[in-house]
This record gives sequence, C-alpha cells and structure tokens, in this order.
Amino acid sequence: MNAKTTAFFAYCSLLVACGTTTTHAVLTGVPGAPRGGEVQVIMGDAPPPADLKEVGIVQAVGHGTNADLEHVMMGLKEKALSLGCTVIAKVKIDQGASTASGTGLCMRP
Amino acid sequence: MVYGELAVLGSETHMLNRVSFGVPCLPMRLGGLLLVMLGACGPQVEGHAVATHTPVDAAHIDASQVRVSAVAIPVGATELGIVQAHTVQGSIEDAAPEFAKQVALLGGDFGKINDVGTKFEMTTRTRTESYSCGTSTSPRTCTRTVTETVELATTRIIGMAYRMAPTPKAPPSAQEGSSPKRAPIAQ
Repeated sequence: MNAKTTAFFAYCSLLVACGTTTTHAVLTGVPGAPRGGEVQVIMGDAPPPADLKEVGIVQAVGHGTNADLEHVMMGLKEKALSLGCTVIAKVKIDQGASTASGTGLCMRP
Repeated sequence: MVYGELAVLGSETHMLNRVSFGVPCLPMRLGGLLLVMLGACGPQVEGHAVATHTPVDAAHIDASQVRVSAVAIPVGATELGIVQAHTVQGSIEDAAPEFAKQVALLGGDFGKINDVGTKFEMTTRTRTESYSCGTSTSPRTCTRTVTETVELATTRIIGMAYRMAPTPKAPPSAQEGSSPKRAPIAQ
C-alpha cells in the first residue's frame, strides 16, 4: 500500500466517522454552578415551571453522523448542566439532511 | 440573498459535514480545498423590525442596554413592535446581538423572545478554485470549476420589542440639604 492509497483511505474514513455536536448559549439570566445529574425536558409550548429562574437559551447542533435526535438532546442537556440548569423548557428540534438543531430555555431553581 | 460576505469565520468541523464534493475523492488536495471552503462560508446575520405601536419617544437606546427574556414581560412595559434576527450558517450566539440591536432601533429596552427555530435548505453552487498541478521540479497552478451541494441552516429568533416603564423616582426629601436618613439594616 503506497502513501497515496493510505491517504485516500484515511480521508474516506474521516468522512465516514465525521460527526460533531456544537453547543451554544445566550444568557438572559444568571447561570448557576455546573452540576451533574438529570435535566428535565419540557417539549414545545408546555409552560415552564413558574418557580424556576430563567438562565438563557441553549442550542445544540449536530453535524454529520451526529445530526439526530439523540446527539442533539445530549448536547442540550450537557449545555444546560454546565449552566446549572435543572430544566430545559420549550424544547424544539429541527432536522435537516446533514444537520440537526435543537433549542430550549434553560432554567434553574 | 448574498452569502459571500463574512461576518465570522465558520469552524472547520462544520465544513467537513456540510459539503458534498462534486469532484472525485482527492485526499492529497484536501487541505487546499478546505482553505478555499473556509473562505467561502461563514455566518451571515440579518435583522428586521416592524413598529406596531407609535414609539413613546424617538430616543435611541444602546443595544447593550437591552434586556432580553424568553419567559416574561415586565409589568407596565409598552409594546413597540415585532423584531426578528436570523443567521445563515450561524448559531443563536450570532443572532442574539442582532435581536437586541433591532429592539434598540425601535426605541425599546426590553426584548421578549417568542420563538427560536432553525430551517434547512439545500443549495447548489459553483465556484472556481486553484490547486497545485505541477511536479516538484516544475510547480504549476491549475484552476477548475467545482459544483457543490451545501445544506444551509438558517437560525431565527423572533419576538417583540418593549419599552419598560420608567422607574419611579424617590419622593423629594422634606428637608432638602439635610443628611439623608439611612434605612435600618436587618441583622
């Protein structure tokens, strides 16, 4: 196997294994200390709990092999935990061909 | 809509996933190809605002003074209009400052986000790129036309602009000039 063939297979395996999830946040309140554990997810237009404080809007974008519901929800939860949130309300998932995006409202006690 | 102008450069990981090449698999030229692609793509941000009520006054608010919430509107706030900000190939972090800017342009100091969403569309575009085609002894640069199909993600923030009620001023002291009384501090 020469160098060119090796590079070809390396490139193709890179494309096959290509999957990334990026997370973003816009703070509209004060974040808490990063925490672990579970995050409650409230989908769509269901009202958020009244006793919680608003922290901000979080977004997770999955690309390539990560462009699916599982990876986007995982990204949203990880971002919420890093901001000290216990609930992600108003969660919405938008699916594309090679990209998926999820947004939600991050809230904490 | 023009996609050529760059506001912020996109990250390399994004590009690997979004682009399907219209040329044969050319691993040796991947580096040069990525550089060309990075120069051609990046988040584009745009915002719009429509007044639905007559502004209280024409005072311009600095966008940094605009407070934003996705939950509640302050008591007594006056509605000014509809505000939208969207970004192509960007995130909410790119669109949010534009949202605040549009609120400020309507004279508002508070923005209520009603919805955040992303839409996707596939577009085909053609561009010319250059690459090394010579040998080590006689280097040359060639050009070729590449047609690529790209999925564009448009993230939109839509909401309303408000002017918050003015903070009530403290009543004037009965004895002007006297030393102010301090409120008792709870122990």
